[in-house]
Amino acid sequence: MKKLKGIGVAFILLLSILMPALNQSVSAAAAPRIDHTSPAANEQNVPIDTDIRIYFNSDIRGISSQYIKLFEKSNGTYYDFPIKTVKKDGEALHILPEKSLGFNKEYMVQFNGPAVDLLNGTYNQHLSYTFQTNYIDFYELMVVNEGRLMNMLDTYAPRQIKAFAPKRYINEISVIHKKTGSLKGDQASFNGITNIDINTKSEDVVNVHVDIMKDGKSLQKGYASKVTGTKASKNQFTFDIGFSNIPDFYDVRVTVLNNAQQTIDSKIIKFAAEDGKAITSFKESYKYKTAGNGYTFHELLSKESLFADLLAESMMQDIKVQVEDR
Amino acid sequence: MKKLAILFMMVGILIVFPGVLQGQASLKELTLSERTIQDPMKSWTITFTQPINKGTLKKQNFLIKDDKKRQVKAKLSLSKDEKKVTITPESPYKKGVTYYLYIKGNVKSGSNAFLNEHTVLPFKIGAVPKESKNSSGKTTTNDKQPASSSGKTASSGSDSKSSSNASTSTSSKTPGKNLVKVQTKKHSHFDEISVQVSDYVTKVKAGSNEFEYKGNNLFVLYQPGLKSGEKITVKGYSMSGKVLETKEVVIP
Repeated sequence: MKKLKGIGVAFILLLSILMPALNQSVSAAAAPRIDHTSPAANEQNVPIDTDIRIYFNSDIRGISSQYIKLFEKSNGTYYDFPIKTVKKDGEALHILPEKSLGFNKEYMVQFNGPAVDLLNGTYNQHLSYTFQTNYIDFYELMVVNEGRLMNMLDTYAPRQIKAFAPKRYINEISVIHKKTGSLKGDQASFNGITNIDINTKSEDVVNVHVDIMKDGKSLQKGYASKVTGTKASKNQFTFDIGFSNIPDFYDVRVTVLNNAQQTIDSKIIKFAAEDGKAITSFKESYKYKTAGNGYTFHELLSKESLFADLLAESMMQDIKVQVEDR
Repeated sequence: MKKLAILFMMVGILIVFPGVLQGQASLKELTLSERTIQDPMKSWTITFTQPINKGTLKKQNFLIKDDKKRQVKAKLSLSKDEKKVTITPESPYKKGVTYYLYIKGNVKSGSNAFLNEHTVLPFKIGAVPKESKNSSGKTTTNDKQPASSSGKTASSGSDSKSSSNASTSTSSKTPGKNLVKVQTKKHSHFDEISVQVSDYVTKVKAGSNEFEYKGNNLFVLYQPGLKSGEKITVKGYSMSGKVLETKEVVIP
């Protein structure tokens, strides 16, 4: 009996020693896991300037960035989308791509090894989730289908809805137009000649196409050629093209294309040869405050001049709208 | 039988040398910008740089047609120096109809050089220029707009490829309405002001806000913050920056 009592006391003493240790080991064993991600998995209409963040259940101690990948889907295949840097910020892992996300794309975030070392252990699980950067046309929301905007405002606050102005590439268009006829009364005349110069940013610009339009029809058109040598400026391209015998009143439509032959900027200007002048010159320069930037609807509504600038500088059809989840 | 053989020979020549018929028919057609006139009996004078070959002063080379391709009866006259051809209609032009003055490429110079293109000048009767207020509040008449161009024909003597152009000259000064139509449309977050302009207006502004050019003489401005009943002054500018017309529009 005494022996049994002794065993009982020893057991209780053992428990009292071990229990705190057991409790501690239970809390320490809470497996490293992801609390949430931003953007969330399968989220649509994610703004292209969004921060990609992964929140863990414990502070991050170290990162093995070789196990962290970002992919962009194109034609059904995921291609590596280079990451500039991966940073830790408390419990959040911050993935910064080398370049901005594109519109209408699907992106996949992937961990394929012991990517993150947390205070509570190493996160060593395979992770893979996607989100999309689809957009809604600003023009559709504001002009065509205003009911859709109302529905959107039922779901999202103005601070969550973002409008992105397109990047602009055309810096300047200049036209020199000589009418058909002679320059002086006693001179023999010659055909009308028109020279068009287009100055663009050098980034992304590969081709410039020019259409001479009248009454909605293209009278003459062609690709402008890049001016090389001394006339070329740094970070800028100058393209030029010549036409003959075009009327004295016409529209010039300039289209800028990238290496995939996609239109990245366009502009229509109106030309009217001046009366009494054989040669008319015209130059128009463009400066933008909003090009390439994103603004929340809250910003646009609270600053009328900003809203006016956005509407004045970009075709509404080119402004894209995306939403941020909270 | 002999006639039949000659006919076959001619047909054969045409098949073997189709260029024989190609001649002036294959010339390019240069269409000049449309002019607006006020005189319903306006005559047109075409000035050439060299005397023309009198044999080519024909009604099929200098003619006026209406928009249904019907030829307008007209008289031709040649100046003493044989460099100017004047075409005068026998009946007045009708309002609302676009006419076309044709100068065919068949016209030759004294040295037998052809024009290198057909030239077409569309024109119609337009409104008398209206007075409009300019930016400084003064009243001006839009008498600057195009109309006359005193082009001349050039031909380089014996060179059969001589470049030669005909262009018309006229004393009439065009314009009329420059801000043809101004419309406003209310959207929930901004107002849309669209302005249809004449050929001469190349820029439209409302205060410091510049309208976006959409092509086809249409300018549009999307402006937030406008109040119902607010008056907006819209100005149409020429290429040289001159105010051609000012209009006031009331926001609905």
